[in-house]
Amino acid sequence: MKKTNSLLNDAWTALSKNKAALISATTMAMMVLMVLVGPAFSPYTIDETDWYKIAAAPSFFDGHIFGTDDLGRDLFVRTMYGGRISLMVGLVATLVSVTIGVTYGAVAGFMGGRIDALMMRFVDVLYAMPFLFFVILLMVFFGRSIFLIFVAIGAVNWLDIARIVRGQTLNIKGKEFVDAARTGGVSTIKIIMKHVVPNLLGVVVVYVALTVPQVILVESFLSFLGLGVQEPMTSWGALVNQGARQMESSPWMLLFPAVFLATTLFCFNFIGDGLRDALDPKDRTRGND
Amino acid sequence: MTELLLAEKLNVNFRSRGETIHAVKDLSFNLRDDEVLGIVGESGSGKSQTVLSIMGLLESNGAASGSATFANKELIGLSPSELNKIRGNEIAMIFQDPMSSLNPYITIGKQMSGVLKRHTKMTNKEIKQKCIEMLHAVGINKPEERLGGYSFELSGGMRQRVMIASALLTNPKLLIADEPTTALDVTVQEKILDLILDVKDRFKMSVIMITHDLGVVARTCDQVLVMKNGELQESGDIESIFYSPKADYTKELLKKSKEINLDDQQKYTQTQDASIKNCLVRSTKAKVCFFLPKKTLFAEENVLTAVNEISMETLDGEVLGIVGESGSGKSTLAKTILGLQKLTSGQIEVFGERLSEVNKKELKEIRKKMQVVFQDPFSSLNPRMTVFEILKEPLDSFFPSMTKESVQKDIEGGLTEVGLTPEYLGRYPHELSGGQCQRVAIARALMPKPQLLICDEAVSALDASIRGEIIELLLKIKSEKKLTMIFIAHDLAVVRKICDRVIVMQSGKVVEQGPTEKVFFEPEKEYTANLLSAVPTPDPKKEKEKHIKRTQTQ
Repeated sequence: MKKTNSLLNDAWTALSKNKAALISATTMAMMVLMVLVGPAFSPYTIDETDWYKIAAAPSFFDGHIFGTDDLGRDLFVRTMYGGRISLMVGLVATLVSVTIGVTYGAVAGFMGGRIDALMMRFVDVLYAMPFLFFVILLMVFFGRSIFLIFVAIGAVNWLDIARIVRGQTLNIKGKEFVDAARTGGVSTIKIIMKHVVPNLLGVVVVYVALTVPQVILVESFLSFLGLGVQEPMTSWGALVNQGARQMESSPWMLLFPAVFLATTLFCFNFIGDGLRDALDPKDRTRGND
Repeated sequence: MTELLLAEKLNVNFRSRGETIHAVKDLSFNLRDDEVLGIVGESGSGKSQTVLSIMGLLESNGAASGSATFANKELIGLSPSELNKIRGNEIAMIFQDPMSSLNPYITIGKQMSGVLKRHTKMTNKEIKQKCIEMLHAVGINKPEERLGGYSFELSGGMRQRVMIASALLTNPKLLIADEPTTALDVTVQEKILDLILDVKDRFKMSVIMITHDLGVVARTCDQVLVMKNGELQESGDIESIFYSPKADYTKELLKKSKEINLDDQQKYTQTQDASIKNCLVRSTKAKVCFFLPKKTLFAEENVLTAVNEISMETLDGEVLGIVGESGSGKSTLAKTILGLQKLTSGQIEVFGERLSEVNKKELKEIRKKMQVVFQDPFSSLNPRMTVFEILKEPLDSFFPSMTKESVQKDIEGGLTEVGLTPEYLGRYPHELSGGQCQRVAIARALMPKPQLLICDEAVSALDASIRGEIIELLLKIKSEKKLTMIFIAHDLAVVRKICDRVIVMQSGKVVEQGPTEKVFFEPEKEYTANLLSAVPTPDPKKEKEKHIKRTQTQ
């Protein structure tokens, strides 16, 4: 007898056949590893100034393989540290906002009626709050910390997802398999988790692939305004921003962080595409089973 | 008579994932002036692809070869710009679903005038005049007002009339109708078919009628092509096809369509015995209203009464048919019985329990004994679940303490029961055909071993031959499991074949109810009689008689 598979098993098999997604995932994994252990192999620290090498070009002999910035700090170490912040913000903030957004939107859409109206009006109220004002308020009350950036970005981003998901849910709710599940005695929670959410995945995954880069950029925007990470800590967004000012005299300051940032964004898009195809049974081509 | 359209060795191929699919193989036919050519076949027979290739409307992975000459002009291989001079001008087309072939964002007037702007040099005023004239010709009253309206304000039949009107604007020589009435109710279908024949005579056109329904062919066509798997099975004039068919496939089609034919006087044996039976579902003055959104703040509430004080009962072991046109409230009634829709007033008792008074737990117990099969086999199965998961779900929820082995055994057994093999367990719904999907849906409904099965248009979306198989399956299961069935359908022939008792509904009310034979052969109400005579019979002579009768009474 043929082994019976679940959606996730099948999705995994399909994903592992997708070359672009696989290469992207490997690249991402390597970058994460590099960002985590990279600084340990450098003789320099993130805030150490090398007085003899201010804005020096990359060179293997003195250990500044990415060069230094205009304060003489080692760019390799800074790029690695910046990567930790950027990736963390990108992944954690997105994960948080997707989890909240999907659950909230699916529940609102599925319940419908008054509950839906109340839940969505609450979203409207939050939408009306100016983002910067919200961030400044948070900073004033709780002081500056990276954690607050996650909270701020997450709190704003889930609103979009909730709206998109609610719309999709309304559409799925009308399908007959939902009625069939109800007659099959399935509880509301289980219907949402087993019938509604899996059918939302396509939209959500694409949205996530677009959100991760967006969140990374928002973080750099906040950093630029002095609301994000603070010196000597840094992020890719902040590094690119500094590098752009020195683009003509010392291009490496822009080039290295920008390459890392761009590669990440590319990888996320490919992985997102691959995931969407893999999660949709219709888009996968099967083997001879 | 001259040849209007001549097709020779027409081939249509599709390339998909490295494979080549022959949708149409070496098809040759001709169509003369003033003639109606019917192309019959089941879905996948290539009947639609044939005309799409003539119109140059194939999907981008399709290619047509061979020859098709229209008024001495070769159409195959013509560039799009040259084709555009012919399309909509000399050849017009109407499609199956009038909802999706009219753009809901553009007014009807604008949509119609587009054709004239493209093909003629008329002024705006003349165009408007012409549009009004055409809408009038297809029997739409107050055409001036309709021009500024949108397609969603019209009923399905009206929309198809608008489609026909815009097809007639340029006075085409050929009208291609691709399943023009499949999505419509029988009484509306009757009127639309009459209209097509009428405009054909008035505007001196030829018509190609694509359909899967032999009754429609018998009513409208002069010449017939029978197709199967892209190949021509038989062609000839209507008399020879219907009264002396040569090809086996034609005979088979005719036999199948006559099997469920209404005029067949042979009475089916009824399984009903006289003993007093339990009443499984009893509805007393059940009423379901939908409250539509108010147009203005202080306007009175708009109420749509879908089910209006219906009293009926379903006895143990019988097959109860509920028939009616779309919008008659039959599906809403089914949903209410299933507890998916709340009652506004009245009472429905299922297995002796009042639905309005049960709590969640009791409702679940009731649902264990009462299951449903829906119309659209694709939308009633979750596309992200395998067949195994789909069948496992009701078992999980109704019998949570079952062991893994017995679940597996039950699922395999259930699948075999509906005529599928266990190898389908790992498949997803989109990998199955419509008929197979419906079998899975039936298997799912049977998993909790219900006493009552509600079939909501369960065979309406299927091809004729598959429909027959599914009906056989339902009947077999019914007798094996001693099931009671409520069978909702708009297809009277099907109801006639399998139901013991029938309820005829119209706009939320019961028009007539009684034993099937009585309702079908001695209908008391005029509505029922009209509904019955509107069904096209696969017999050209009888259809002609009916047509004459209709034109005389008009």
